[in-house]
Amino acid sequence: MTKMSNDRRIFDKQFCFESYGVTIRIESNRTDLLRVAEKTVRKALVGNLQPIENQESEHVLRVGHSRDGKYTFRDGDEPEFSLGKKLKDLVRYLNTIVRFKVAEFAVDHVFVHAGVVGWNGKAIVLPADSYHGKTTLTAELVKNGATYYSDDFAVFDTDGMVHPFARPLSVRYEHLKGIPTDVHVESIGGTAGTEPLPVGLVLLTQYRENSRWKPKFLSPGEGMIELITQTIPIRYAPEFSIDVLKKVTARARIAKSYRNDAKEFAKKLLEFVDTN
Amino acid sequence: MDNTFPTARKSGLVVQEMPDELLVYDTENNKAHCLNTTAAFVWKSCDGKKTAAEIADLFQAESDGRISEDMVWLAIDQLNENDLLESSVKSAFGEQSRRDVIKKIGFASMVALPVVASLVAPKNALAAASCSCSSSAQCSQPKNATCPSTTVCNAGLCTP
Repeated sequence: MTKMSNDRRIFDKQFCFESYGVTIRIESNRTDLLRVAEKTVRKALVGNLQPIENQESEHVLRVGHSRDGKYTFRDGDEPEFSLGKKLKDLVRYLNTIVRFKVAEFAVDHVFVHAGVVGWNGKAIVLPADSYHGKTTLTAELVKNGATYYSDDFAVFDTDGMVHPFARPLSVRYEHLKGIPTDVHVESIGGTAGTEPLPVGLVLLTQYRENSRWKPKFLSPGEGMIELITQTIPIRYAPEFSIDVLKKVTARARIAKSYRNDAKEFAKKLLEFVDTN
Repeated sequence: MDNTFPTARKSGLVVQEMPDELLVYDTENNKAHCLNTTAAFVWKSCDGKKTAAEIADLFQAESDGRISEDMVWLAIDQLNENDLLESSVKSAFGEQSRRDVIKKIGFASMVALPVVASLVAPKNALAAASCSCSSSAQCSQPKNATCPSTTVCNAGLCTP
């Protein structure tokens, strides 16, 4: 509990939790705001968190509301800053920060920025940057019968198995200025996976108009360097991350190709997996 | 700059042996490198005591294949370019492009040409995700569409 300089706010409301071995304490000066924060982190982490007793947490995030009506945020010892007067901005920001905090510092797991679906007992992992159609392709694969695992992170354990991180798909609609909208997997006729899967295919792909599916297969080493570019904890835990990625690439095929429209491509991809 | 006895860099690297490849992650430059067998052999042999010619001889002694001194230099050139040597080495090929050198030695070789494939790892994940900026223009980039402000860079963050 710390008092902010030049204001009288007291951050004595707290919610402590553990997720993937990362302990985080959220502090607030208002009970209602703390409730919103708790709801936000539960959603951000797809329920993968356990409340813990108030203790020395590795990470402390502070959400506040100041007398001028602005929401504030502070991450550890970093300076506090204002997020404006809209609660949804604070919620959006907290959601992102919490996901990436856990993804970066997770114990015994490696988070890779990727879409993931299950198909015939194996996972298809689609690593890509944001705005490269990861969610669109994941959704189309699900519409074609694949099991939904994630449109955000491939979560690998120490054996290289991929675990579900099945948050609602975060679809960006042009008419909403690209701001993500939650789409539940059931609403597109899919189901979410619950069990860890071995990886069958890592596909490095992005949309390019009029492109053809011409997969180039990569060696495990070439695949590793591609995966490293999407690996969240690579700077924080390089040895551990590389050790886990080696297990993934030793078993999976790794292919690279541009793709055309996701709807058409999803069918083609599943046929390809079935026949290869 | 010691052109005679190149030395492989050791510090700040995470090295992972893979079948027929070597994965090297540079924690200082945040770059991941994949060295094929030939490039990996040359890199491991750069101990600051051997010349390129001696490395070529060693390759022949320790494997079924044979590589020329030019091939060793082709590897050293790439290792140098990717900061995988202790100190910078001047290219032995002068003005010739790598493509020309490969043409010259590639077709005559029975051994795979040395290849170092490299990619840059992302910025600190949290920094990338947390709407950091140095100018307001950066806040309007698509990756910042979910930040609290897409127009204002306020004290290093896209916030109103």
